[in-house]
Amino acid sequence: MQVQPRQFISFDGSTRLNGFEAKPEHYRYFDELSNKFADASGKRSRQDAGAPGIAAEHVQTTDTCENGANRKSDTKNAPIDSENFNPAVISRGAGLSYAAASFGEKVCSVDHAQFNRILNFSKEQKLIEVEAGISLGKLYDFLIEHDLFLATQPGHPRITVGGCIAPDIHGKNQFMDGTCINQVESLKLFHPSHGIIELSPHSNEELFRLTCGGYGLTGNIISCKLKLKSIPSNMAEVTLRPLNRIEELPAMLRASADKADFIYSWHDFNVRGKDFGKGFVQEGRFIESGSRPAEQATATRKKAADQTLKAETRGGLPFPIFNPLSVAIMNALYGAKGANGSSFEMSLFDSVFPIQNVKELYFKFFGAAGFHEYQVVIPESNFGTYIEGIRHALKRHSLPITLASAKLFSGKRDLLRFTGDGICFAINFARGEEASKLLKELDQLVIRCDGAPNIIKDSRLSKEVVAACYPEYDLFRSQLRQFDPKRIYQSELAERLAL
Amino acid sequence: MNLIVVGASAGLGRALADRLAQEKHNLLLIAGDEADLKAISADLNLRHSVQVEIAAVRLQCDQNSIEKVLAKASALGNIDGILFPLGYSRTDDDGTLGCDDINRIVNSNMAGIIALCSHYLPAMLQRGEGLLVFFGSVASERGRSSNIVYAAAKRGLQSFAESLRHKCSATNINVQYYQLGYLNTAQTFGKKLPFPAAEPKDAADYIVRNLNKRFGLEYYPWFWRFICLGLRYTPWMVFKKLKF
Ligand SMILES: Cc1cc2nc3c(=O)[nH]c(=O)nc-3n(C[C@H](O)[C@H](O)[C@H](O)COP(=O)(O)OP(=O)(O)OC[C@H]3O[C@@H](n4cnc5c(N)ncnc54)[C@H](O)[C@@H]3O)c2cc1C
Ligand SMILES: NC(=O)c1ccc[n+]([C@@H]2O[C@H](COP(=O)([O-])OP(=O)(O)OC[C@H]3O[C@@H](n4cnc5c(N)ncnc54)[C@H](OP(=O)(O)O)[C@@H]3O)[C@@H](O)[C@H]2O)c1
Repeated sequence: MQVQPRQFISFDGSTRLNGFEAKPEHYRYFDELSNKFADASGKRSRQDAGAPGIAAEHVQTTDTCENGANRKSDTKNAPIDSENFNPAVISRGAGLSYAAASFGEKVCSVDHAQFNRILNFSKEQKLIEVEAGISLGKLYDFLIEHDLFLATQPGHPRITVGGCIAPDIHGKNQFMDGTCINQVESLKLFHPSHGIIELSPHSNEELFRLTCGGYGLTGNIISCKLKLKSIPSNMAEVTLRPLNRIEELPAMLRASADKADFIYSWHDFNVRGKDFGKGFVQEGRFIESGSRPAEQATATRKKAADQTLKAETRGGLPFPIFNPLSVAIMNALYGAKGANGSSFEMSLFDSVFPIQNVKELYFKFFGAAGFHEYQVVIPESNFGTYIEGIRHALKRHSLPITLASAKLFSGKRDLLRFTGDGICFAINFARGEEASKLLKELDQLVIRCDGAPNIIKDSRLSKEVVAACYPEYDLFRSQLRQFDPKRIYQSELAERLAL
Repeated sequence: MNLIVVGASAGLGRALADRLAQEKHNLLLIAGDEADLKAISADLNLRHSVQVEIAAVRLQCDQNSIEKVLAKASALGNIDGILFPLGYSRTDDDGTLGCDDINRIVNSNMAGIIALCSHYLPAMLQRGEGLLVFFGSVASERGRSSNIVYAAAKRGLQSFAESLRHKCSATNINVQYYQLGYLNTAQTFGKKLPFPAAEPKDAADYIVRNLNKRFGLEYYPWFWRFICLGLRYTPWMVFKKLKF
């Protein structure tokens, strides 16, 4: 196992921490990890399931051996100061989470980038087995050739499957498809004290539910079997329906959600008065297409996707481009797109991953200081109160809102899963003093409205707010401790929320 | 073509296997870790619909390891070419290593390669065609106080490739030798490097595009040709003081 010191930064620009990075290329890495955590009585391999916990003091020096073979300890050339090496570990996918979920101070982040292979595929059963480091883009490229696709995906092709399972992310029609856990048939989890365990809704169910939505804290997800959905072609038809009053949003979403393949809304929160929150609902359907466009742009696209959207480069601009004037203009222009309603066709890839290429500038325009996303799920009955609450809070803390968008949700809020019946509502704004004051008010507002904020999207949520909004917060903690009393898997997020 | 890639589980070898499968070549992949090879072969087979065989063998100069390769190679039929992107180096290669470590470095960077080549050469000579691609390192351009055994083995490999090219000059056996600069792989992970490391994917692209070209030695990335030239002609009085 090779481990190096590294400074990590969160995608939203808020958190910069010194951790370690492990870049494993081989499966035997997991054996080595087991051995590193083995107790004094001798070496233990990953097959020794159920062995007792780890003894941190037995992690000695860093093994710098290139090809991972056993070798003498090489303290002289060790790239890290072993005295300071905290044996806590955490998995890292693409590192695109807004919160610091895949790293922590002195925590060793295990990069899954090389574990990105397709292991098995059955077109008939609509099942695929992949390693968890595979990107959604690579998976899309393979599946589209077979007219199949993953129903629940977040908006960028560099995001990994592991990064989707661990926070149990949602896609563009959560109301119909649920969250990511619904498309996981089974998964293989590695934990140094337990070896490799297979989890599914039918075996090790409790650990399965704890892992899908466990923010990487139960271990490294090595591989998983995913359920797939048939699609008629690689094209989608999109309809934009204007929305003049935000109060009408829940009814409008509800009217179409069960017929759409994806549906979400866009709102302008920068106009005052009765137009506050006007916008449009964007509804899409996968369609048969006579002229199926070639996916030959794939190579160029892949190259572009490889290079763009990284936590390290997002904050490249020293100053923000967004200010009240530029945001007002951007929103007016974007809003005009849907003001009269329209219908058009677009490629499936662009509709599944709307934020690529030039659109990624959106994140860069926040500058080095970064941004906040406040995403909540609110019961429909409290939606009006929530929006009124935001409107009043914005009067006190005038801030340009760069994005406001909603989706219809359904489900039961359990453990720390971001789900529930109601409206999922997100707003974006630049980081700063005024923003911090606004967020404090929003935290109280969401508690009053019986809602819950999205943990993976917010890098400053406190444990008090999370405990108040997630009734099973304590259950999550106790189940985690039961499985892993030594709490080997750690991150900034875990520490902040006292998980 | 039916090709063998030795060292296919990581870095350049893995990138090469992917590119070659994309070009629809059937492959035998060789490296030490079986679980890794299985995952790679499944991935390449599913994505590119080519035949991918694997052999979990630590190549070295003994009949046993060669036999293991041959047993798996028979599934492919005639072997048209072999690429050798395997390599092994270590940070304590400072002239004080014990026999086991020396053997592993020499085997993985030269002796094992020579042994496998020597097995396939007669058949290639008989057919009058074939492809042999070797990978050296700029570390072997001029001996220094680090990577001592590694550089020696790579220089030996370079001489072997040169001789093969001479021997095969009247045939259609193409012998290529790449002198590689830094690549962004496990070998350079976390190291402070004086020059940028190339992506293995880009290197694999370049190598596969040039499989039909006949050249003796090629530097990749190209700028290393000039750095190495400079290194070779640096006067000893200066060179001995360089720390790198
Ligand atoms: C442009 C953009 C659009 C987005 N759209 C959506 C959206 O529509 N819906 C939504 O819900 N989210 C969305 N997100 C958020 C995003 O889906 C999550 O933050 C996701 O976790 C990022 O994945 P990643 O591969 O970057 O994981 P990372 O950020 O590297 O990790 C995220 C978490 O997953 C864990 N993890 C990663 N891999 C593994 C593994 N192999 N084993 C165990 N744990 C692992 C990490 O420990 C960490 O806790 C979006 C983000 C961006 C940048
Ligand atoms: N990376 C650089 O900066 C750099 C610079 C100059 C030259 N090079 C040379 O370029 C080539 C590729 O390097 P790389 O960085 O891609 O290497 P790498 O990432 O370390 O991968 C080496 C591969 O070779 C395999 N291997 C090692 N010894 C083997 C043996 N005896 N038998 C079979 N397989 C063996 C390894 O698998 P197992 O471990 O599973 O056996 C692995 O698949 C090597 O020849 C290297 O010396 C590299």
